[in-house]
Amino acid sequence: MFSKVGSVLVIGGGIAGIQASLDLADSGYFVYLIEKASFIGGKTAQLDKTYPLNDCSFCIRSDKHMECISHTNIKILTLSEVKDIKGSSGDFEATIIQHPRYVDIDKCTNCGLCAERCPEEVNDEFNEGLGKRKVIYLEFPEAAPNSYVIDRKNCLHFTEAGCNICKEACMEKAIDFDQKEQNISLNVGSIIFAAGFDSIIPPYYDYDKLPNVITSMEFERIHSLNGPYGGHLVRPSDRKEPSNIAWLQCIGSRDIYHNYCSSVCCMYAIKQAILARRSNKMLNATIFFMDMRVCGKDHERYYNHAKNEDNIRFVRSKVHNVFPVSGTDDLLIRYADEQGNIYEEIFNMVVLSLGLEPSHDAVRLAGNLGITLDKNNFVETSSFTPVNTSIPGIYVCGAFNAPKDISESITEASAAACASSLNAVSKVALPEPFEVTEQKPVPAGLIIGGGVTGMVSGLCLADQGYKVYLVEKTNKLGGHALKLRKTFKGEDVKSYIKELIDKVENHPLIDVCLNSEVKHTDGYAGNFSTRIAISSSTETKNIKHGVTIISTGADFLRTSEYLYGKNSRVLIWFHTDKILSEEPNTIEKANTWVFILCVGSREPERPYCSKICCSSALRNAMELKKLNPDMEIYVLYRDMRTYGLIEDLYTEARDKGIVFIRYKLDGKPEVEEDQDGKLMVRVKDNLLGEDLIIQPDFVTLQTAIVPGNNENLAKLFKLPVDQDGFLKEAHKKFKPVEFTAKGIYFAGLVHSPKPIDEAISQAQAAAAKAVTVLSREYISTNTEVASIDLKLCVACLTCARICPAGALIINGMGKPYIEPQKCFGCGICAVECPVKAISLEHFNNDLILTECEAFL
Amino acid sequence: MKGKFEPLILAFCCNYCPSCSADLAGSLKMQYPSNIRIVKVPCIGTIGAIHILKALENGADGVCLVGCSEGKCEYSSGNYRARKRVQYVKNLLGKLSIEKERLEIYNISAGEARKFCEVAREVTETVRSLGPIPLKTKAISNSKEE
Repeated sequence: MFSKVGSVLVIGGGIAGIQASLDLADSGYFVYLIEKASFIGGKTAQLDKTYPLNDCSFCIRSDKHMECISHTNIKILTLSEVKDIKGSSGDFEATIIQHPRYVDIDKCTNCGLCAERCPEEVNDEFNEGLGKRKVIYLEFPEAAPNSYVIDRKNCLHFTEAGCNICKEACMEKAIDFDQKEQNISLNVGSIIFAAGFDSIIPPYYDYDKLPNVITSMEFERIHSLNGPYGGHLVRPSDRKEPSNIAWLQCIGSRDIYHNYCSSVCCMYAIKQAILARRSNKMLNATIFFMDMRVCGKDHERYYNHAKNEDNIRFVRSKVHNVFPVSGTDDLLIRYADEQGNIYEEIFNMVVLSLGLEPSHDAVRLAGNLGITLDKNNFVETSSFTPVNTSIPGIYVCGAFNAPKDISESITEASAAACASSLNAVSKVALPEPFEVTEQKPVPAGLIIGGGVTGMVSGLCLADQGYKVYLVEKTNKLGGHALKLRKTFKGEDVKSYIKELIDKVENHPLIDVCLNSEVKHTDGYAGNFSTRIAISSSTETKNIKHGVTIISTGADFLRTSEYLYGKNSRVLIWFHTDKILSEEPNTIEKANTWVFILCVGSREPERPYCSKICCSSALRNAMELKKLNPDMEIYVLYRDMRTYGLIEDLYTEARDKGIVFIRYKLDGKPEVEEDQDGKLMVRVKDNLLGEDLIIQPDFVTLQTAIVPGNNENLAKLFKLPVDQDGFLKEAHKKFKPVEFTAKGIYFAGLVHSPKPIDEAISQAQAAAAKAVTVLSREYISTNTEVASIDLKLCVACLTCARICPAGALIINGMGKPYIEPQKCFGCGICAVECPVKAISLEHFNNDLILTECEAFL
Repeated sequence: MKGKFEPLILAFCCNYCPSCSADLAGSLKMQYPSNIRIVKVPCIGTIGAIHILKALENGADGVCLVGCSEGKCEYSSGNYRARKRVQYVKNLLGKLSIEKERLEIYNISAGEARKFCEVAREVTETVRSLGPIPLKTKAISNSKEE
């Protein structure tokens, strides 16, 4: 059915591996998905709920799992590990060891008799040792592949020859002790490392001695319905319900062994605290933290809600010790507040928010293969090629790349799918005019917005042989990135952009339409028709395309705070970049510089984080210090959000003597000028409790990123816009670059504020999704579509008004017609039609009634 | 011999969350009454008044509609429509002197296997206490009845 051939090896069957496999398989590639456990899903399978929607992790993930298991283009090898990889990009030879399950997957019906009869019980690792399982077991009821597995190490058949109890109990004869380890050799074009993370428990906090000091994953298991306590939130020592719980943040992160931030712990601790309070309204939840790093889309709102509505208590303090309270199972925490006062509090349970380390097994494998790893053993990638490893043909995504959450892992997985598909097959289409037929998807993509995101998406599609129309409303390509100098890692943005624009302008398949805007659009996935207008003239252009990618970017806040606009020495962030590029003298003469963070962000008017300001400020501060080591630099901040691997920049900045002063929302710094125009900044220092007065030469404001004019776009394409004005994806967690409408995707700042590396991987992800539509030989239509019997239809148009897919069009005679490609097959029109003129292809009225009668 | 009355309940479940929770209940080996017969539909919004009434007319002692949680309908508004329809049919049942409690609608999400079983039990017991539906137009051999 597909016109592409090529195979890819995906190492790791967690959520990233699953997503990468699905995107590749849907584009016509064959995927080998290798997973060392007996089930797919990785760490997400152990989670109870996911933030920020508090969705049940299973509910949301299950359709991806099912698709993966049943996809004809995906071969899943569980209990498998990669032993070695030889060869090079386009032609790798991978040797896999598959450990025996001792149970035939195809025969096992999950009846559970074997486990019932099994005489041996061991600690259950899936439940973090909190419960027991039999030696023949199902990891959890929803495990996919849904089959039991025997833990050979503890199995009496192997350790003390002869136990055959499970084999005799099995009515399907599914148990086979003779299964052997298999060596499998695979020939693939590309490889994706999606190996995920491990959590380590630090040797402090007496975790081993105190039963009520638990890890974050243990909390997830305790709170899960399918966990060791049946979802009943009780503590391990005495199974009593705790009435107060403390969460300790940054355990195993931001310490001397792990100089990085694990990115996800702030959000997951808030989630756990919210869930704990929901299950027990009387419970007190306290989170002890250093910086609250809730930078993602909708995360700041989640935090505000937790503080204000859910009554979670946040205490800014690093806790160093947890002491047992003698005579009880309770725990004593001693902490200091910012003023230096010491407090002691007793808690029933303490949760350690553990950090993420790159998967230990994968680190070993990557090392053997010669993949460059950074000092923390994460894969070293460039901001401009965020999913490429140092070895061509081998890609990386998810937490093994750098600590990140589920939606970012899914985005990167799609990006890795895009990058690796360019490698598995080298096919260059000739720029011939194509024929638009009823059935084939139009092999072209319309990309709206010619910034970095739009250009990267465009190149991804064009390099795979599709025609690209890149529409840009200004007179040049490059977008906001033209204002930047360096990434947080210090890479040169200007030369990257120049190269990128060069590639786009010279690509035979990319048609760049500058000074153009979209005026009208219509159609469905695989067959869109859009009219573009060129602003300087009345010229319009009609474009036929199969997919649309929206990358229109965002804008920066025009603030009037802090004397901006009144004093020329108060700058916006990109002015600093300009001065660094063009006026080194100005910098050498400056004695003092102040950066103010969170200008316009995280306020009632704009309750979101602009994500890039902290790292951008620190990057520039470091550059200033390099040019003028004697300069005094002050950074006024509310929370230092140098998340993930950016934490390094914060450590370096403090080492270089940059002074950090924290301010609160209700105590913002004041910027004044004297009669000579000299600036004066007044800020209350939280540690001293007094006002500090600084007389800087310059003040740089890290202003908020605000959404562009998305209302028009949203109306044209019928897309949802969220509360903050950014476009809204189909599902915040699991479908980050898609909308509910098919064939249209988005990436970059139009989605939410993000740094350039995340915009690039999101651009690649959107392209990967677009290819799943474009690569088909036929536009896939639902088999269950509704159709209207025009003889009965009275043209009341009720169906047209209520169709959730917008699949109804009214023809010239005023009668409705259902477009089969848009129809979801939900049947809502069929039931609302007052004359019963509509029937669902395979599911009509008669069928329902017949089914009923069969039962009755 | 007249045994305990075993009501026949038709449960319309949509293909998404409720079917998932029913399957999960099955794999977790949770018990729910066999009085519940599940009919899967693409969306609970597909079920109209006609289907509910026909089901009751043809021998069901009770009907329940099980849809996805509020806000989670795959087709955005199917479960809201279904709720409105159930209200409408309940009114109709009232006019026909049939107990309104024989019809109910529930919202269950995919992982709530336990809730599915609780709902199944609740519906069975409610309809059991009401007795057989006072309109059997066909002679149905309901095995436990005379």
